[in-house]
Amino acid sequence: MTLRRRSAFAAILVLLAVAAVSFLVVGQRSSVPQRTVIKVWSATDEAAMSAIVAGFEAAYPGIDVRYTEYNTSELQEAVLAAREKPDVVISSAMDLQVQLVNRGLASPVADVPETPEWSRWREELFGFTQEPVALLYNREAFSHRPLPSTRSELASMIRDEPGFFDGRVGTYDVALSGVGYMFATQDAQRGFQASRLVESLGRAKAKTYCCTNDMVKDVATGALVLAYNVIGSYALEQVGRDKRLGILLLSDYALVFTRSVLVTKDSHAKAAAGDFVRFLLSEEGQRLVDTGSSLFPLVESFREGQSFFESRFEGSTSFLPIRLRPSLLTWLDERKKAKFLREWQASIKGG
Amino acid sequence: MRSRKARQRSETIGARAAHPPAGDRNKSGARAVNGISITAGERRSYSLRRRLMGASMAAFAVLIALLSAGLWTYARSSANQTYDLLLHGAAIAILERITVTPDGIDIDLPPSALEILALDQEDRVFYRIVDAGGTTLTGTPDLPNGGFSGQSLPRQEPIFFDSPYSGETVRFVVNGRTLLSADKPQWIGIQIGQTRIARNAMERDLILKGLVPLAALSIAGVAMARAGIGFAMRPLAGIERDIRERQPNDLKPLDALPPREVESLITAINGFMRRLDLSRGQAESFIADVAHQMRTSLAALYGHLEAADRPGEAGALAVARARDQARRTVRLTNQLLSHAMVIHRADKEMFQAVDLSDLVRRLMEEIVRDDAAGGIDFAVELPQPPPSATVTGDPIAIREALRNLVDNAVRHGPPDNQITLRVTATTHGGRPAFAIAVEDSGPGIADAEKLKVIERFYSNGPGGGSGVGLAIVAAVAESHKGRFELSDRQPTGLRASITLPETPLPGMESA
Repeated sequence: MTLRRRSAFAAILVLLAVAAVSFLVVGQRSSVPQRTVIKVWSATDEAAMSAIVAGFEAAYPGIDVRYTEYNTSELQEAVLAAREKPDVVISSAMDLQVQLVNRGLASPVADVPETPEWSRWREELFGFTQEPVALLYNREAFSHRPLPSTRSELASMIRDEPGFFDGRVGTYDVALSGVGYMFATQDAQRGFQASRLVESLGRAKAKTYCCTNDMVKDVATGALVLAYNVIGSYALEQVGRDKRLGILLLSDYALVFTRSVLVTKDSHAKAAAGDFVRFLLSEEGQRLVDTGSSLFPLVESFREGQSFFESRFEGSTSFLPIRLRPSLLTWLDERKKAKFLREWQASIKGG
Repeated sequence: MRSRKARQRSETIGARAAHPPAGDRNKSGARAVNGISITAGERRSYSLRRRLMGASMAAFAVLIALLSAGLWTYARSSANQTYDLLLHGAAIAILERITVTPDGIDIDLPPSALEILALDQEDRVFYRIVDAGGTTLTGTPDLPNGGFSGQSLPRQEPIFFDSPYSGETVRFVVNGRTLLSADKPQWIGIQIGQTRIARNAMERDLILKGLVPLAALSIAGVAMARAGIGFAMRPLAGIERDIRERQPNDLKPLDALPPREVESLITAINGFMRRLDLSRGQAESFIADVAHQMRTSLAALYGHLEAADRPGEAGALAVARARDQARRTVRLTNQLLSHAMVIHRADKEMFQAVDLSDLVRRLMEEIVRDDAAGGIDFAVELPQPPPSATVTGDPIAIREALRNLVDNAVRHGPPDNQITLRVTATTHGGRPAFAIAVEDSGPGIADAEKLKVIERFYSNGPGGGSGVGLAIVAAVAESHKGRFELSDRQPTGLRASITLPETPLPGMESA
């Protein structure tokens, strides 16, 4: 008994020793090749990005990605406030990204594959997706009535049939959502119908949302008959799964925005961060964007042109890309923003 | 009596003549050695082609430097002007959208303003709007306020300035506007900045577009200058080859048609060769003449000495003749040496200030002492006031010339000869000069003979001399750039006059 216990004790000791030695050896071995870690702060669903990040880590075994998710305005504040800046910043809020670059917080990345001129700025900020802004509707609600084809028609429809639309239209709350604010301001800047449409929405007691997904849910259940200005890529994923949903591009124009990426000036791993940017815009990265996420790749959609979107959305239209340029800063001006929000809210609520 | 004295004098002259040329030879030999060493040591030859190329390239370099500086200034100011217009336009667009409302100042930033500045691809943009107190109403508060100080704020005209901001040089404009409201006017200002990337690109582009043709032009200019210099220098090479390939005794003038720039050089070379040819010819004929004269004279002497063996009076007569012939030979030899010396001394180094009055006076004393027993009447006339009769010349040569003239006057004149030495101030070739005239009352020389007697070994008359004396005088006159002339004296007699300029012409020694 004692003998057996002793031998068992000895065996345990030996096992422990082996384990300790092997742990030490393994630990030492793993610490020998210096692994580079890049911190990616992103305002994009981690689910949408995980395949892309995994693909990058597979292509560059020496680089680990530490991915942190934010919403757009949190991201901006966090980047500005951070003492230890991230290496890579990804955001769908183009205006905020332009602001970061304009403040001189970005550093240039060389040898990035060619992309459309509007989707890159100063070789520091690169768009890597191309996503149209669309109109989401409930198929059942519109089964016996025509769909609007332009903003002007939509405004008239809402005004003419308050019984049908009252309380059943939704759009972004521009005060809550940075992307929603960008869409609204771009509408205001481009279309003379914008204010009329906002007034109509207000008269119909439109509901406002923080996010595309919430609007998709309410349109699916029929709580909303339509939602104006949803992010096409997110919505399209749901539309594919849910027969109750329909998605439409209004024919007067469709805004197109791009998710953009930059490498910070303070990054300690600029080479690895640059590799990440180049990977995003490489053939493989773009393929992963296309297949591994709900996003639309920039390069491929650019190559295919109009047909890329026409095969996915109802309606044909002219696409107006939002340019990654300092003019976006206009709408970040405090006075301008305050005034726009005041007027917008007055229209939405006062209707 | 006179002849003995003459012989003494001749010997004296011979001795004198022997020494200075020796010293002269030494001196000139030393100088030549110095000249060679100087040529080898300090003066290096240079290339005209390289000088011309250097000068033209330096000129091009200076030109390019000046034009580049101008181009740079122009490019900078025009790039600034172009983009300042955009900046100013954006400022105006923003100012236009600032209004006074009952609630206060309404600032409605137009997207077009920043769109204008975003027309260019790369530049970053900064702005802020301030009130009269300098407080930022909206925009980036920490922009540098280069020209934006408190007291100068209420301005209407835009001001532009460069200032470092956000890690780059940024071009700013500050512009303002006075808003009219119910109570009192209020000034509002806009400051917009744009990084200089587009400006610098335009500047570089302008400079490059200007510099490339400029550089091409310069290279072409230098190449053409090089070809032109080579073309221009080709005649010189031809002339050089002509001289190099000549036989040593070929002194024909160069027949190349020289370019105008070196025409005078070629003319000088040709003139020099002609003179060289002439003097060589003169030297050859002089040597031939001397050889002939000496041979003849010595043959006569030998003949007389042969006859001296004869007995009696014939022998004595032959001895007397031999003595006479020997005396003549000595005189001839002395005169030839004197002539050679005068020609040899025709060199600037021998020249010094010569007081002619003094020289004539001393010569006269010497002659009178020699001729104490003769019946000749000597007179000297010197210019008044006396001390000014000074010329630059060779005193020994001048003295020799005068002595020869006086000897001739004595030899050819009657026993009661009247010989006058007269020094007068005159001009020669437009320059102040002095004439020394020796006048006698002898038979004179016929006009036809006057030119001939100056030639060497031409002798006339019963008391004819060696024929060298007047040639010496002519040579002295020539070496001093003066004049020798013979004229008649009334009622009878000859007037031999040598005119010497006060100073030799500049450059005379090279001629």
